[in-house]
Amino acid sequence: MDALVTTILLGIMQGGLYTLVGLGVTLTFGVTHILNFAHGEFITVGAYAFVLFAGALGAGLALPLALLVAGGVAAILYVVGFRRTIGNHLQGLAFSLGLLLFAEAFFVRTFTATPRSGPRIEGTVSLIGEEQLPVGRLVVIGVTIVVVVVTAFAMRRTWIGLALRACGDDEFAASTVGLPARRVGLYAFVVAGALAAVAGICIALVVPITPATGLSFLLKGFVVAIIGGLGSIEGTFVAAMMLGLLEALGTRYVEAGLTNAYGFVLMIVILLVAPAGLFNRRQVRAG
Amino acid sequence: MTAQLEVRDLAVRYGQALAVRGVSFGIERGETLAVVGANGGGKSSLGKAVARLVGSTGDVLLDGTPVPRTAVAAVGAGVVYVPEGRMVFTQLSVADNLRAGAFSVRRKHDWEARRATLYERLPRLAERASVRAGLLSGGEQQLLAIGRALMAFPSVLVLDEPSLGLSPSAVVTVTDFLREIQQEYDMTVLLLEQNAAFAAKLARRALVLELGVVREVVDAATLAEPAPVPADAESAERQ
Ligand SMILES: Nc1ncnc2c1ncn2[C@@H]1O[C@H](COP(=O)(O)OP(=O)(O)O)[C@@H](O)[C@H]1O
Ligand SMILES: [Mg+2]
Repeated sequence: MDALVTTILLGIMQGGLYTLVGLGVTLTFGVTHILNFAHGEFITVGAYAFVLFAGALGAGLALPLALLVAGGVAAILYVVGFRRTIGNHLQGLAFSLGLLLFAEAFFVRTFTATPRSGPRIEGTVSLIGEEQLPVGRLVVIGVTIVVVVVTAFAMRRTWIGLALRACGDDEFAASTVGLPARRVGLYAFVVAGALAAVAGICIALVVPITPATGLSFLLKGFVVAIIGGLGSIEGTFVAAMMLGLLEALGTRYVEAGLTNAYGFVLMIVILLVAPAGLFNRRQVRAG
Repeated sequence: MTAQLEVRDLAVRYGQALAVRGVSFGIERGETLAVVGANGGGKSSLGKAVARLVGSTGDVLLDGTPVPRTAVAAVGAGVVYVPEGRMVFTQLSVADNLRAGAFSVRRKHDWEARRATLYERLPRLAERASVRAGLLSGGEQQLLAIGRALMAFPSVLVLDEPSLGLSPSAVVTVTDFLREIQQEYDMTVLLLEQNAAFAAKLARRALVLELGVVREVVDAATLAEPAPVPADAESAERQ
């Protein structure tokens, strides 16, 4: 019983991290139709920025700085690269894959492949029964829930959120109401970069980071964005939680060696049942 | 009286193909000018060029000043295009569609007041304010698309085939709605329509566009008549 609670909490934490990553994938895809394979590198950028700034300036300052660095990197990459590939899927693919390879090599060269730890949240509490729950994981769950709720609220209530949804819905219609699609694409990348950085910081709070940290989460982020029905926030959240829980339960009770396979099985099953993803309400328009 | 919207020698080119070839016309303030013609004649291209949604050569002047060359700035200058096929934001609520229409409007209470007026005029949309626009009927979506454009405070409204695919009763509703808002907001309308009978209900003058060229400028009333010889049809109707 206690082990089940711990396992479920672990699943929720993973699900929260997948949500943060998947939201970025879905948001940038929704607005710019770019599938950014280098999106995971924003996680790595955020994680390293957090660890390095925390060493020099303390964790309090490192938090906003890491968000700023990842958002800034995303903005620069959009302006110099991604923006020019809009409408040309092969170019976008080539650019983002090239960027991924470059970033991986850059991180290994600069930071080496040795795992690094930042300011970890250590210690455990016992909430239910005897089972000890790591505080760090509980903090991560809290942070991801708050960030996801704030993001969902901002998407509904703010002008930028409305712009992102409108451009994602129909780019031409958006241009008829005076929405600058290319600029809105920039907002999407900055928001995606910052969300990925939050994921990176959360990861750094509980485990050591390596240059490959982002890449492993990217694949899961893609899976949940696709299962959720690319472009849907609710879909991404639901899919991420399903994946996180499935992985945690499968690892604990079925076979730990298959952790990375569960998600892809889930994706295949769901896409067989609902080919457009769980929450894809996009309609095919005539003409 | 000089034209409020003046189009001079407008041409639209897609690669090698010329969709609009040197079209010129003027529309007076508060007037509705129809552009009619068969599918592929260049109506949409003309309308999009006026609203700066596609590149063009030639001049588009609003009150004597060139309409800026980007779509964003053109909306800001008061030239707003309502797309063919409606193209509401299907996944956004009715209220959010209207809010998105006000993107170029700085002051919140301005567009909120306008939205309130719109809801009074179209209670059906008000009732369904929180419904996803994709779930509305075709006629409701057309009203919403026009309403969305109104939220940008247009002085020139470019309507691309507003009657397309609508039931006869929905066409009547849209016609009445267009008459009312044009009066109320003193708008100049460029109406692009394949349906000549519908165009005749709203416009007094019509350009006949064929293969991107204005073939003739006619009295729109003659468009509504089915007979090939207008004089005969006119006398027949009087009897
Ligand atoms: N984006 C485009 N690219 C290439 N050709 C186009 C494009 N849009 C329209 N055309 C062509 O331009 C011509 C005029 O089209 P259009 O302006 O849509 O006419 P209409 O609205 O009267 O049906 C047609 O021959 C059409 O195939
Ligand atoms: Mg057309």
